Amino acid sequence: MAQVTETTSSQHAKPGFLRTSFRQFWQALLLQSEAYQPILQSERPVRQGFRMLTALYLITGLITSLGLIFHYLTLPKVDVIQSQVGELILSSGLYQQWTVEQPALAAVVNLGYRLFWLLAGIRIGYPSRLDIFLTPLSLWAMGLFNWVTFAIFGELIGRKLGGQARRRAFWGALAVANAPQLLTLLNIIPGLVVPSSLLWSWTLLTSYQAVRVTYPQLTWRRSLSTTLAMYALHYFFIFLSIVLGVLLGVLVYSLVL
Amino acid sequence: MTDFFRTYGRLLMLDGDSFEGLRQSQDGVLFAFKLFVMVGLIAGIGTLSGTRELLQTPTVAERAYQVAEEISTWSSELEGFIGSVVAVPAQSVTQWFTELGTTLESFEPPLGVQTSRVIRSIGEWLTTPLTLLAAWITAILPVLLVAKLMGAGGSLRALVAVLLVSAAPQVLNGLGSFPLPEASGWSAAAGALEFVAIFWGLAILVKGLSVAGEVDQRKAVTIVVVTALVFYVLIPSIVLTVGGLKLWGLIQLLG
Repeated sequence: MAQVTETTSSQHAKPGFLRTSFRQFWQALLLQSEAYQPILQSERPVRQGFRMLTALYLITGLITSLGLIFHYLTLPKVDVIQSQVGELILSSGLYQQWTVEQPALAAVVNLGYRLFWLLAGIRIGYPSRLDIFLTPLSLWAMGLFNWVTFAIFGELIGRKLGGQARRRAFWGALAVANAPQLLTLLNIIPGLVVPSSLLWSWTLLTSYQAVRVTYPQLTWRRSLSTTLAMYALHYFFIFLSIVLGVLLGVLVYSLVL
Repeated sequence: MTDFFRTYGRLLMLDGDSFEGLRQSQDGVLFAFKLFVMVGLIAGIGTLSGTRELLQTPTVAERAYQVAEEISTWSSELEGFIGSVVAVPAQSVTQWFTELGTTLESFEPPLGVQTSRVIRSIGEWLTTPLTLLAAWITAILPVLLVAKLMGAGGSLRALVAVLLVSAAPQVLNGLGSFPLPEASGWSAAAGALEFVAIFWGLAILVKGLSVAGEVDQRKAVTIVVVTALVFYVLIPSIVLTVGGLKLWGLIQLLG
């Protein structure tokens, strides 16, 4: 009996990782600065942050996948419409005549047709099987990528502006600042859309709070500058990588030809 | 729940103690979230108004089957008068409409057209609080910035919670969410209520800003006016002017 009581009390004293993590995310979502204290005091904030983010993104990703299945069940079968209409076009006399006269037209029509349905699918939010299966993984990968880049820039600028904290402490706080991702749990309801502007604005607030809590020496102006510069650098480098990618592609293409 | 509605009522009445309580509360933002759920659902209630009609409206496939059936009945009725002259063409038209119905049926959502419509319209209705919150937070971020620049105090949590409750009078937009006939008394009433909601919200914003930002009401008014001038007049004007000049330059260059 005593053993049972002991086990129960130790369970109460040490709640599970998921429960603790989600409580911290919930507190951060409610802009409670206490949410950041456990991870700031943690010995390994990066490892802790990685685990928390993995749990957050995989769970919200799974729920989003489930929501996509419900979306699929309540939307017209776009893929069936695409194939039926496609068959109708391909078997029409006009198309047959055109393709005989101009064989290149077939490729153009085929490409244009596929592109049209791709855009139509995106427009109405029609998920493919791949979307449903890969959502948790893609959300997790994107979340981690954003976390790493934001954390690198944020820590760099925060320290330059006079912030003092243990190395990588900011990484942990920034992981907790991903709390607005919790709102995407609502994606399970078909027809419901969580506005991206809401996620973006609320993450800006939690990121600012993460900077404030990690570097209490910084004034609010410097904390805001750190947050905004972190965002600006992140998007600038993404833009730069796209431009460089395109240039590299053009260069390789011209060299090959 | 009773506490929530009591606080909500007091905030609408610009009760200073309620603002102070919200500012000090750890769960101020949670209160604001609950407020947005309630206000958003009421403000968007009109989106559900067509649900009953949606359930009664036949689908396109059902219409095709109906036409096929009608042609078949009409053809068999005619047969008694003019013989089987129209039987063959009527049969082919009936068959065409039946095939069309089958094809259209294969496009339908797996849960069926009507069920899906109802589920999705409920989902759209449930989106209203989130859309409202997104609009409000986007509008409030500049106010927060200007308030801080003009020397307002208070924690981020307190400021956000108190400023968000300025959406409280948006319940008055409930009437405007229904599809009302244009130039009717109802649409005029909806317009008047929307107008009241805006100014009532501004009054709550000023009161909240003075409490959470620890500034007097005159300064709170100045903060709101400066924010409106800078973010909604000055910056858009500069952007439009610069954009216009660049476009003019481009036109000149091309010309």
